[in-house]
Amino acid sequence: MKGKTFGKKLFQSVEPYLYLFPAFLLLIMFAYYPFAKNTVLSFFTVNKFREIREFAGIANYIKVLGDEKFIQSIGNTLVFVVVTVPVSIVVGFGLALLARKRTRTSSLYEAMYSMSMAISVSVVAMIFQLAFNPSMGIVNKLFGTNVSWLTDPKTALAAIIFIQIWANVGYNFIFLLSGLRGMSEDVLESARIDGATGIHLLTRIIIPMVSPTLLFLLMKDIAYAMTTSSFTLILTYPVFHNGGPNGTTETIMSYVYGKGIVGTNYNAAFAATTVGFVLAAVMMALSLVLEKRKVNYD
Amino acid sequence: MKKQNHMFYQLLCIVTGVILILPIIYAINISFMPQDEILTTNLHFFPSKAGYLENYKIVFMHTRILRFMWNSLVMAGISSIVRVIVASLAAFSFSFFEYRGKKALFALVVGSMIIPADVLVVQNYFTTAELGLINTYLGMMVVFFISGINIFVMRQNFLSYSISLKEAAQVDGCTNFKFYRKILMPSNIPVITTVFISSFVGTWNTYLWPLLVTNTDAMRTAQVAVTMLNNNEGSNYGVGAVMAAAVVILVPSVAVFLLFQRKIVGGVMAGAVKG
Repeated sequence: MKGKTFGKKLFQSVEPYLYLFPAFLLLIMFAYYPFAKNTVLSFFTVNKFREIREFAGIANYIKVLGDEKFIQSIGNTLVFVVVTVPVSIVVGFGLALLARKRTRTSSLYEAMYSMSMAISVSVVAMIFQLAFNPSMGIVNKLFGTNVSWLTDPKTALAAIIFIQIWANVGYNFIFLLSGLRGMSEDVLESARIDGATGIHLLTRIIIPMVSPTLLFLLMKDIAYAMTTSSFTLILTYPVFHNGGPNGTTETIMSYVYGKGIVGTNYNAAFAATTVGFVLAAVMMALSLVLEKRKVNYD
Repeated sequence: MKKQNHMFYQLLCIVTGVILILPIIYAINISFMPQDEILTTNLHFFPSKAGYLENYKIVFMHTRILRFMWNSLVMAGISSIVRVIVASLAAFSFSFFEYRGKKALFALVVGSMIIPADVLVVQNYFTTAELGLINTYLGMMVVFFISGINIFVMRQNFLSYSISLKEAAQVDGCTNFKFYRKILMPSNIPVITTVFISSFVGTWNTYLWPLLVTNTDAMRTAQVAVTMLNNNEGSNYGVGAVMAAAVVILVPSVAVFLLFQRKIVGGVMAGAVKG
């Protein structure tokens, strides 16, 4: 009898931890362990079996930051973030404003505006690879141009940025739409009575009211765009076997992929991963500073 | 007059929508065109004759598209079920118990949300290889079993659920686990559906991870396979067939998405913004 109550007590004290166990096992194995391992190994020299040879200090970082190709990939990634994030949020916001008022055909065009959210990067890539094809693609046929959009170093990054914006719009739209619809009509109405119209209504009333959603999208889009690599890997790797025409579409993570998976230069790959993470964190921190100033949670 | 404006407004909205989904319409049109029509230099947006199905025949007869889609279905379906279970158990623990280290443990969950998944891909690939899981379903799924944001969202939902209900259930002799299984889960179907659907669409559409951990044709997912129809030397089926394959694998995720669209947003927003 005594043993039983002791057992019961023991069970009671460990029970909540038991429920956490699967989650933490996975979280440690596939989030914290790889993160820590990458960070630690980036300060060592490793061989091609990823065995530690010697302590390297910051030598790997100095080396990778001295690699022109990596610097170029950082530049490309920043351009990618600075263009895709604001443009796809603004377009998504415009569409959400357009769709805010419910009409009889709302569900039809809401579905069309948000559609890109459901389509995978590989299908999007296949469609635009054809559309941008120099001889059979619709883009050249439509505009009478003769540009090899995805293989010309002058246009490749712009083409990939365009594709990414299209892919992002659906997601941003649907979140902003539910943000806009969550606004109270009374506030809008009284603002209108006070004579607020057009731009004024938008910047003083509507944007502050959906600012939590905007911040959420900003953080998510930045984190995604800073670590993007899919379109580069699908669209330009098979042709160029590295970051696109003259490296113009190489992103930080496609550089990591090239060094760490295609090649076996782990010293570069691990240091580059850390640099990528730190830059992503800095970009997100910058948008949080924006939150302090602008976001309104009331 | 006002009614006319209203009609015009809806028309404007619909035309905007059609422009946005032009790439999809384009892919569908190309998938019904013969190769020589695709290759002509003049602009053919719509197929010149209806009912050309050769590209779809190629996809179903000459590629293992059904196998690829089965692989995607297994990967997305099972990993989403596991994710719901793992996340709901953790959320149950965080919202209904008091214990030492709870705050710190929850901080670890939140902290994991700021590490972008793609940053971890290379190391996770090595872990999976060391566990001997290359070319296995488990290897394809294992990184999708856990998501910090899902634990977060579920906890938000469970917290609004009265703790006195659990106490009442206990008085009736209900164990904690039974409460989780028989009362908590059934009464939180909306958030469970949300997590499941968003996880399913996300995993079905994922590209990089299954590309890394599979290298045999039999284990390819639909998303990886479709990019290879085009790129593999010696297996060029033509662009029409690539578009047909793209349309075929696009159907399930778009269908699920359209059916559950509102749920997906509702659930993610609940945790992400109000939190």
